Amino acid sequence: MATEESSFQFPATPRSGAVGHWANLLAAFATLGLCLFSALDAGKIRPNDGTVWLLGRSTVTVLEAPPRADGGINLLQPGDEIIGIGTTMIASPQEAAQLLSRQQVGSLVPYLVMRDGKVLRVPVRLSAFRTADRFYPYYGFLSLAYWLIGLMIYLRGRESQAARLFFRMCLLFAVFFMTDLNRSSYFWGDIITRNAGALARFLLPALFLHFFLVFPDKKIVVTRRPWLEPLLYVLPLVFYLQFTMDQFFGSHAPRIYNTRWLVLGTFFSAGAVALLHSYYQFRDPLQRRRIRILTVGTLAGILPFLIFTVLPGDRVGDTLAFIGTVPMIAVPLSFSYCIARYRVMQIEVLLKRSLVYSLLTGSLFLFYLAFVLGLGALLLRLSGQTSQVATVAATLAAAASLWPARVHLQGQLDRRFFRSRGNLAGALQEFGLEIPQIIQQDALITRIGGRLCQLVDLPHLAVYRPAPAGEEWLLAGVVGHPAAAGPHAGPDGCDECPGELRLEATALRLAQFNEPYWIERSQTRLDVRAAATREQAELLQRLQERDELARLGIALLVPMLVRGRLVGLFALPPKHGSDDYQLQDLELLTLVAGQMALQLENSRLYEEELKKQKLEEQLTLARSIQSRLLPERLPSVGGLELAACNFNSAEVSGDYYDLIERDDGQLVVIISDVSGKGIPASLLASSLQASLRAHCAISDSPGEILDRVNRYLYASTDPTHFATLFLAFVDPARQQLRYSSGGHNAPILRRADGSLHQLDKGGLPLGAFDFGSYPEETIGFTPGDMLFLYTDGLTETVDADDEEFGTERVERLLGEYHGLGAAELLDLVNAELRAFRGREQADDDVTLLVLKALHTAAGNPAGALAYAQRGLPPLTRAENES
Amino acid sequence: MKRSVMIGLVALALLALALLFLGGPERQFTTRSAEAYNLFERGYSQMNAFQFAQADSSLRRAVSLDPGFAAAHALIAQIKNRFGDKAGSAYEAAIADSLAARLPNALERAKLQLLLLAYKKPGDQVRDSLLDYVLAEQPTDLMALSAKAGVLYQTGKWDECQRVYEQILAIEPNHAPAYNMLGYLAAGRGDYEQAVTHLRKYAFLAPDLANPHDSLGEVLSWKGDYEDAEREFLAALKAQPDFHFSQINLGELYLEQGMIAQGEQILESIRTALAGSQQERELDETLIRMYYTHELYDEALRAMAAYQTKYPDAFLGGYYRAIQLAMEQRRPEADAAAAAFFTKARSSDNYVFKSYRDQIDGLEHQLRATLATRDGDHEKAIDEWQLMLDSSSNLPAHERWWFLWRQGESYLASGRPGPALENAKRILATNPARIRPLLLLAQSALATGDAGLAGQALAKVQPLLARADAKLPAQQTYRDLIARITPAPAD
Repeated sequence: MATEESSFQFPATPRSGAVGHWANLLAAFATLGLCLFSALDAGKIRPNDGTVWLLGRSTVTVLEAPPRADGGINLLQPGDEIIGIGTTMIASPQEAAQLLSRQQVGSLVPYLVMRDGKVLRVPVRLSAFRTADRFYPYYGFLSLAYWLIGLMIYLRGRESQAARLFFRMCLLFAVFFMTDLNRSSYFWGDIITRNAGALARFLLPALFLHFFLVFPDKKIVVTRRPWLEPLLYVLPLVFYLQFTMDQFFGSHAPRIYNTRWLVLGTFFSAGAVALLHSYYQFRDPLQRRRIRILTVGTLAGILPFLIFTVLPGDRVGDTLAFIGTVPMIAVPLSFSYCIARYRVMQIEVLLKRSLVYSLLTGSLFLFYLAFVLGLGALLLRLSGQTSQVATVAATLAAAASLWPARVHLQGQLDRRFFRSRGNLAGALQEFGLEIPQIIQQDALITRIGGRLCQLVDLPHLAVYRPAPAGEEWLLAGVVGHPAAAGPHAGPDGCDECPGELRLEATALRLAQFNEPYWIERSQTRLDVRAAATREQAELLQRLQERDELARLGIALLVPMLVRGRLVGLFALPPKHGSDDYQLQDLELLTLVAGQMALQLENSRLYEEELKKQKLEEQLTLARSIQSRLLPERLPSVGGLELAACNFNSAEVSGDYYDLIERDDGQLVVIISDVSGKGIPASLLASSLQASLRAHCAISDSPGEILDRVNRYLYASTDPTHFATLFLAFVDPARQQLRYSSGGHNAPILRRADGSLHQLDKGGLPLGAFDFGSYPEETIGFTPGDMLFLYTDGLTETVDADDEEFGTERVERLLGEYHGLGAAELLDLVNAELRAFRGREQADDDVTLLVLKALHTAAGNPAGALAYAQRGLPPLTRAENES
Repeated sequence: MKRSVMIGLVALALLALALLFLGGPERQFTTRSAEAYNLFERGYSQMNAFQFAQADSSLRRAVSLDPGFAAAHALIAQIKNRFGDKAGSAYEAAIADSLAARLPNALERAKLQLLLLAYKKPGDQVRDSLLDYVLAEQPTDLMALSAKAGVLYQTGKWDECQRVYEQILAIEPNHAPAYNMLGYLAAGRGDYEQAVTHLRKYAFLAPDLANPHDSLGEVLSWKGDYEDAEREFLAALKAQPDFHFSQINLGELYLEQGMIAQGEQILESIRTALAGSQQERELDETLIRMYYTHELYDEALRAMAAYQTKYPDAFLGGYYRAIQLAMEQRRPEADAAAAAFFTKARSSDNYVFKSYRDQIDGLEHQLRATLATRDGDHEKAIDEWQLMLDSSSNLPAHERWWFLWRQGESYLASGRPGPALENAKRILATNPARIRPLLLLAQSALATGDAGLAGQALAKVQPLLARADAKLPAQQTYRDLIARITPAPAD
């Protein structure tokens, strides 16, 4: 008998609807009425002739004439058909009952009976008779206990199938205890109590089994075979039909035969086994502890009842039946204890308040009933009507006219006792409209949390959200009810809420079950080392966390889940005074928490979108800045062929290059990579460019310029912002090149003879330190020599296997394709780079600059233009703007 | 909330309208006092249960509450009439009649007149037309149904009468008079067990009245339960010591059993009380019939003579005279007396009615059979008795047994014991305790050679004769028969 995953809740089923709810309430009060009626009937002393006959037939036939309690001889015999009592003929058992009730106890009443086809006049001495025995008060107490606990559980948890089943079971138990099938009575009401009692006796075992098949867990056998549930009731209903038929067609008083008792006892036994199975099925010790008392109480009540009362059937004596019934009080008591102590069935209700509410509601109903009957009687008296139709009409009219008053008073009562119930619907509607309007998290917490505090009457409400990294939960906001803020409360209503919580195991549970989690300090100290399984380890950790939460004054956690992801939680303190959270409170908190979670998630997405937009704007701006740093056109310098390009990645980096023509005919070549991305990097690059241009105008020493720029950058920027830079003065006329590097990738000089040289003379990156020197080197070049400058975006580009493009690959290309012009070389390198990368978008900016010494003095008219005209990827500014 | 208030107000308005149109509870008779009407209904129920004293008390309280309550006065008139207070009855009836004109509708006036005409004889056109009118308007009215059943009983329409009484009981199971009449109707068709059942219910409903016990005693005596019958008659007399019907029935019961002296004593004891009344004459007729039945011819002749003297204008006087003359062997005078009697009887206006004709014809057959028997012409006697039986086929068995017995005697005398035996068995099937038929059975059985049957019959008659007078001729017949079936002692 496997069970489903335990959740300690009654499995919620779709709401049965208002009609079903009212039908259940009607059943509850009808049961109460029936029990009261039975009690009054049972306690009433009535004249009795000592015989048993059936009320459900057209004739009154004596079925049994047991020995009289007063020791007298019963002149009536089984089989006698009573056709007259006193001096009146009778046509039905109802008339006989009425006639007998008018007789005096102890009087000698003539009976007219038909015996063996002959009419006889038999004098019968009527004895005093009361159906209630000496144990009846206890049965009444027991019945009331069952009725109250059943009604309370139904009112607090009617959404769940098990709560409804338990409620019905309690009603049947109440009827069971208050009715007796084997008593002789001449009162017409006995036909009602007797049949109701029979129905209770037959249905109760099936309902008992049914209940423990769905509580505390719904057994898989029932889940997989839902038709089993109605099937449970077939046999009891057949028994009941037989019982009913006996009343009309049987030859003896209807009773529950031993075989039927045996079958019904089997149902009870199976129910007890199902409960035990559930108990031992729980691996979670906490869950098991929660139903331990309930299990023990139920078994302690049911087993003696089964052994002494049910299984012996008719043979059981009153005393033995009483002994078997006494422990039955353990069932409602254990359920009450578990509900109050552990909130089993998710019913968190103060017994005291529910009891008062139930009593007041019941009293109101009784008052209503009394007024209806009184007003109906008054109407009849005034009208002089005596017919039954007029009686019914008057009663209905009185009931209808007083109904609004009753509804009004009941509404007042409900509002007094269950304030949040009245506000729930309206509040949910308000929240539904308001929450989507609030985007800011703080505003959301302040406004919605404040409203919740008012509705649920909370001292304060704290919202925690998971830390971006790590497992801590950070206080996102707290709000308190103004009236509830104590002397220690801060401006936000509470200054006692911890800034962060550690909720590893608890968070898992909250995410798993999506239900409010009660915080109670565990009574026993559990040894973490005792955990043998992962589940036990989690449980123990959760218990530890729970103790810590209880120590912090938190009574309830309400999860904020979005698509199964826990995005936050409400941490709630105990309510004011002796008040406790009610089901309506939990409903409201859970629903609002869900809505708030969704809105927080939306808010996060919105902020991310904002950030993204901001970034895009930054990128656009950075690109604009960067594009302005690059020369619009490459200068035309005699004896040199120039080509350059800059490929942007998704994020704008600080790459830039510059070519400055000096008045002395030298060409200043700059390539730089500024640290960082986006606008800061662009701005730094811009500042660097301005500084360089200024210094290049007044100095022709690359080392000196770099030294000055380094000091300038270090002083004006954060040390974390720096730049690598290669600066060279190229004198085409003298075919000389003077350079110095500020930590930049060493450019490669490929000689016309194919040899490669790295220009690595220089110092530290610029702006990082306020010290260091930048030595220079002067080298000569001849026509055919080519200088290849690049940024680290080229060599650090990785392929799908995470392998870098590397310097070696660059050198190989320069070596193999030495005959190419500057632009063709760039084209080739680009093609190689893209092929190597295997994807369109670069990870980092790539800036390339090529200078090739020509044989003639005439310079390349416009390298960039020529490059573009070949249909190759655009260079310089055009490339940047793309 | 508002809707609920509206529903309540509408419901109250509907109820008020309904009460307005329905008026008060339905009453059969007008009175200004609801309590008076309740007392009237209680009194009527008590009357139906023959609880006349209680009924009188209830009705008087009703009249004290509303002196203009005509129906209550009419019922009081009935009660006084039943107790023989003719003047009082007439007085109350006159009050009721004078108040009738003030009654608001015709139906009520008609029902009141029915109450006042309850004891009229059949054929009363006013009563019958009122009855038809009321039943057409209210087919389940118990008063009208009772009156109709009474008329049907008196006119001999017993099947219809029974259906009406059953209809009454379906409406009111405690209607005591209906059980009484159903009992007599059942006895009339020979179903004595059913009759006893009905009458026991009647006695159960009115245990303090004499009439139910008397009726039950009568039926019990007809079926031979003499001890039970005696108990019931005594119960009747205990309930009402001056209930003469039970005294007569008790006396007749003793005579029936051959306890002549005891019977005579009881009957004679009430003669003073009945002096001059119809009941006294009926008492004498009973005595004559009993003497004749038990073959106490001397007593019968004396009683007949006394009857003719005492009641010179009595209808049966001429018949008795003819019988008397025949028994005195004065045949021509007997024939003349008989001719005179039958001529006078057939000249009556009632001769147009079949029941009357049957009665006269039956008397003639009886007389001829008696004369033939005395003449020794048993075959003719048999034929005459047969004609008598044929003409009285509508009579119940307990009233025809005597003809069967006499015919059986004639059969036996004519040497045909077989038919005699059958006649005896037919009589005893209804009442197994009749002395003469038991002796006829024994005689016929002996004649047919069935000594065993004869012995059984004699064994049954023995305890009956043990209670009977020693001078009863049947005692001698019994002894003779015993002697015949007892083997003579060997010399």
